[in-house]
Amino acid sequence: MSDAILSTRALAVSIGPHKVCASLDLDLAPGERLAILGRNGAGKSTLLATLAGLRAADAGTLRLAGKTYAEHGLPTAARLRGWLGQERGDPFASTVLETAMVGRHPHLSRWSWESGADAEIARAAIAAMGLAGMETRDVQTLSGGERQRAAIAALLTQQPRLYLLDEPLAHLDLNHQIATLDLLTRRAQDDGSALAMVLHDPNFALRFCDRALLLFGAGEHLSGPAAAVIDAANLSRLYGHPLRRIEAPGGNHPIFVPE
Amino acid sequence: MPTRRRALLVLVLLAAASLASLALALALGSIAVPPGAVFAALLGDGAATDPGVAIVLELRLPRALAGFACGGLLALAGALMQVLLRNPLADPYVLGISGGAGVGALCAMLLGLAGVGIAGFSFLGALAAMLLVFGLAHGDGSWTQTRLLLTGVVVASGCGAVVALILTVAPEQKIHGMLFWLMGDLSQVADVAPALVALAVALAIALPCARELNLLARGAEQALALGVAVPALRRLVYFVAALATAAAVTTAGSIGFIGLIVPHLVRLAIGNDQRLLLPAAALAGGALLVLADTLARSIVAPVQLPVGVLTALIGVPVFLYLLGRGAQR
Repeated sequence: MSDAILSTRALAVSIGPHKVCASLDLDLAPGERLAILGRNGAGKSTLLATLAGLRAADAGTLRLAGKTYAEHGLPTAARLRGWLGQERGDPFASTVLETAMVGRHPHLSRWSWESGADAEIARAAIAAMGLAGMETRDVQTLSGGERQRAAIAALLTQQPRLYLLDEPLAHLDLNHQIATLDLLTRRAQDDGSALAMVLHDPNFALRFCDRALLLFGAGEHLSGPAAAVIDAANLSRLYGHPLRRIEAPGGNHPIFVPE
Repeated sequence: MPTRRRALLVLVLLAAASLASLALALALGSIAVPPGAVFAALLGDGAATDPGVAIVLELRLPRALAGFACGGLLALAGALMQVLLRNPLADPYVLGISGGAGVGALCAMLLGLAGVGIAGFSFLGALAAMLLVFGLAHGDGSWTQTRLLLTGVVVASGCGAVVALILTVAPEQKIHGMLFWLMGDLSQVADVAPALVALAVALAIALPCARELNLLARGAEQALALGVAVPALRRLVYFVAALATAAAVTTAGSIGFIGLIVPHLVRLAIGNDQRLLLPAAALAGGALLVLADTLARSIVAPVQLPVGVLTALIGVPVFLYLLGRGAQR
């Protein structure tokens, strides 16, 4: 598919001796949302960092909007894809607005400073993450969940076409988990961006994603439409624990609960 | 986040403070020279026979300029090291550069060299320590802040042992000079130009990367994802900071506290945007060291104190006050 935002062919990724995936073929079109599921240590974060071009793959091709990361170069790639990591350690004091504003970096030339328009984009992202009124707070004084939302606001401020999110729901309470996934879904629908995110809850994957990638460890994976791939048998194998499918009354999606 | 206009305003104010500190340094001392005579000397209008002209032009001006350059270099190097190591407690000496310079300088003094000889040896010592730490920290091709920090600390303590050894075997009449060098002393400055040029070059290299440094301070992976060429930037910052430190230490010995405290003070006052922090720290560091040196040679004149003692005596209480105030906010 030539119009895919992200496309991999025979991608092989490993961490030391552990294989994450042996031959991954993946196409992510505009507006599509992909969930990456797997056990702890299966390599979800490693795969996501590879897809973000932050580490090299062992073999295979990886294209972002039709070109490899090397062909794009770092600044162009940074305007196309955004990456949310797991680490939240700011050694220096920084306000919420400053934290969100780092997302504008790829859009600015070397000597230009953030304009009023850039600040508006950042403020809108902060408000969208429910942090309005906290713009001048120091992120070091925020709770874990608020820090996580400030980091997502920085990613929204970056306005990439491909969002790669490593555990975006970490530290968030339930209402903010839903609000964040709703917001990302709206982004994908409105501006045709694509999402790939590491999730821990298969029910969220089923409800908020079109496609799912299951990493079984030892290089095995399964990918396809979320509704087809996420079933009791696959999830039980994925997590090494039996899960049961329950038809939710009135809901569009079944839910899976651990036995 | 400062706007460009506010940043310019802060820098103009600091530049004015720097000029004021230089003016004070020219006017004050064991022999008072009236402001009018200082101006006349600077403009070349003074009578050649006036002793005030010689004092201002030949003694106080080079010393004040050297103090300004060294203070600026140390504060800039400290600010860069704090970003590079992502540690607000890092200072220019944390990577063993002053230790290497100390070994070089003391060896030169032991050999009976003076002035340019001491400067040359201490610069070689600083270069050796810098390359040693860089090489060892890159041993396996990876780069972690912890590894770099630990390598630097180990090299620094190794240099400290060598310095102690030289002090024990050195003849008694040389020990006074060695101790002054180790505490930092601006009275023996051989040549001002290298330090001033080093400050200008270091700022010219660091400032274009300032926004990228903001991102590096937040984490290497996020910086990379936002388009910063992290490994190249780290190498650049390391060498600029190390050479700035080497230039300062070579000129005036290892003056403590400026490199740690000035970036901190500036950060507490105006925030952590490197585009403003780096030039502001350079100006504030320069002004502070000029003031400290003026005090060092005038409070108990004609006896001169090592300026490093003064910077510590001024820096520590101011820092503790600001830290306490910051915690209450």
